[in-house]
Order: sequence, then C-alpha cells, then structure tokens
Amino acid sequence: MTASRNKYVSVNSDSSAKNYTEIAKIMSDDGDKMNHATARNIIIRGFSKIVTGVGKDYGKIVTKEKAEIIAKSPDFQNALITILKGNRNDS
Amino acid sequence: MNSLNYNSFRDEISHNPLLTREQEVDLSRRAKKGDRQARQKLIASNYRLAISIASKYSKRGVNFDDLLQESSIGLIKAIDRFNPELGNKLSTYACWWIKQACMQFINENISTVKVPTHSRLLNSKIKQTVTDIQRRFGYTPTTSELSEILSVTEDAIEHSNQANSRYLSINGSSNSDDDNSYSLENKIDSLELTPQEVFENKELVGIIKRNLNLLSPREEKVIRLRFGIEESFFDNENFPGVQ
Repeated sequence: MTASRNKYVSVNSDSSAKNYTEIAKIMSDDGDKMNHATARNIIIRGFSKIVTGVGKDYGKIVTKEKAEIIAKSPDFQNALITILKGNRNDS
Repeated sequence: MNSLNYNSFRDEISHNPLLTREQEVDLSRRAKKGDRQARQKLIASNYRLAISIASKYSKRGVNFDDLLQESSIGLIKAIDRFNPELGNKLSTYACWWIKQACMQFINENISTVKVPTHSRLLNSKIKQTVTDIQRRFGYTPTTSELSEILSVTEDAIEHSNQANSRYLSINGSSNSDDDNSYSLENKIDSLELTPQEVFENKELVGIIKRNLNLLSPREEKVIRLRFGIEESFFDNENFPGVQ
C-alpha cells in the first residue's frame, strides 16, 4: 500500500487487498448491500473512530471534522496499517 | 615498473630516432604485408608518443605503469590499422587510439562501480560547461539550460550526474580529521530503535488495539477487505502483552 502523489491510498501492490468496488460486491453478496462509495465512507468512519479514540487516550480532544480529515489522510492510513501489520509480524 | 626502470626505459627508446615521412610509409606498407621487423620498428619509433599521452592522463588516480601498458596497446592497434595510402601521418592517427585506450582504462579502473564511457564523457562535458558558465556569468546553469547547450535530454543529464556521483564506503569515516568520527555503517546502526522508542511503539500499538474495539463488525470487515488483513488479525492473541 502506498500513498500516491495525489494523496490517494493505493492498495494495488497488495494482492489480497481489494478496491472499493470489489469490497462493495463482496459485502453485497454477503447480504449487506452497498456500493463503492458506501464502502469508502465506512472505512473513513471506522478510521475516524480510531483517531478520536487515540486522541482521547493521549488527552486530546479531536473534533469530528478534524478526525475525518486525519482518517482520510493516506499517510495516516498507511502508518496505521503498517504499525498493525508490523506488530503482527513481530509477534 | 619503478621510476628508475622507467627512466632507463625512456633513455633506451630515445635512441630510436623519429622516422621521416618516407620511412614511415615504407615501414607501414611492409608491416601491412606481414613484416614483423617493420612493425616492431614502427612501434619503437612511436613509443614516445604513447608515453607522452599516457603522462597527460597520469593524474587521474590510476597506476601510471598500467596506463603506459594500455597506451602501448592503443599504439599497436593504431599501427595495425593505419593505412599509409591515405596520406596522413601515423602520429596523427595513433594519438586518437592511444587517447581512447587511456580513457577506457581510466574509466574501467577509477571507481568500483563501472559507468559507461559515454556517460562519463557527458559528465565531463557537463562539468566543463558548468565551470565555464560560472566563470563567465557568475551563476550555476539549470538542468534545462545545460540540456539546451549540450543538445541532450534533461533525463540524460540527471542520469549522468547520478551515475558519476561520488561513492561512500560503508566502512569509511565520515570525517577523516576527526578521531571521534564514525562510519556510515555505525550511522545506519544508530538508526535502529532505542529501547525507549520500542516501548513507546508498543504502547502506541496497545492504544490503537484498544481503539480497534470501537469498530463495528461491519466497519472491521470492510477495513480488513480493503487492506488485505486476515480475519484473525483483530483477535487479541495477535497483540501479545496488550491489555
């Protein structure tokens, strides 16, 4: 996964990663009907929750708008997934 | 060859007189027909040219004796290929072969990493042009200006500069004057995380993990699919030591 110059997160280099359309299809097939935009919104919402929670743990109040901006940031998403995957590999 | 040998060698070849135009043509014709003595005489008589050209390239960080050998090979090549019927002097023709042999030898031996001769020549032209412009106009030209002046693409200039940049040894000292200087290898080692940083990272991972619990199953699944994370990834056992 890399952050491109245009600041979009690309997951093409990771074969097991899916694009929004593929995610929407899988979720729809599993009975949770959605389109690609919904899949994207769900990810941003999920990351926003993590941002708010982490901020709270460090004693910072992160507004909803600010959390959403951070959640959308490819750098943040890259860092988060790298940290989590790194942790799994170390264990 | 040490300097004493070199001097005696030089004295010896100085006994070979320069050839007249007629002698040169005559010997060349005979050499072409396979006369080994004529060829030998041509080599011996023109050897000082090889020494002269090699000495001009001697301050390029290569062994002079080796350079002399290479320039001699260049001279021999020139004698073998020289056509006396074209009316040129052998020395005129041979000097390019000798220069080429010297340049090629320097190029192949001056650094550990081999850079193509054309790239090295382009780099030399770039440096010369930059110095010239700096001296005449007092500023450093941009890549696009150099590209226009030298009639090469900007990519070629950038590649040439990159290929001909100086190399650092991983064991080399960062500052030769300073006893406390440390090598590139040490610097790389120092980039490793300190115990405190490792602890802080673990703490951060712990905090992130705690907050992963805030995700709904739907959000968790979509994130897993998006980043290619296995289903068991969000389980507690993947984060040992995290409460």
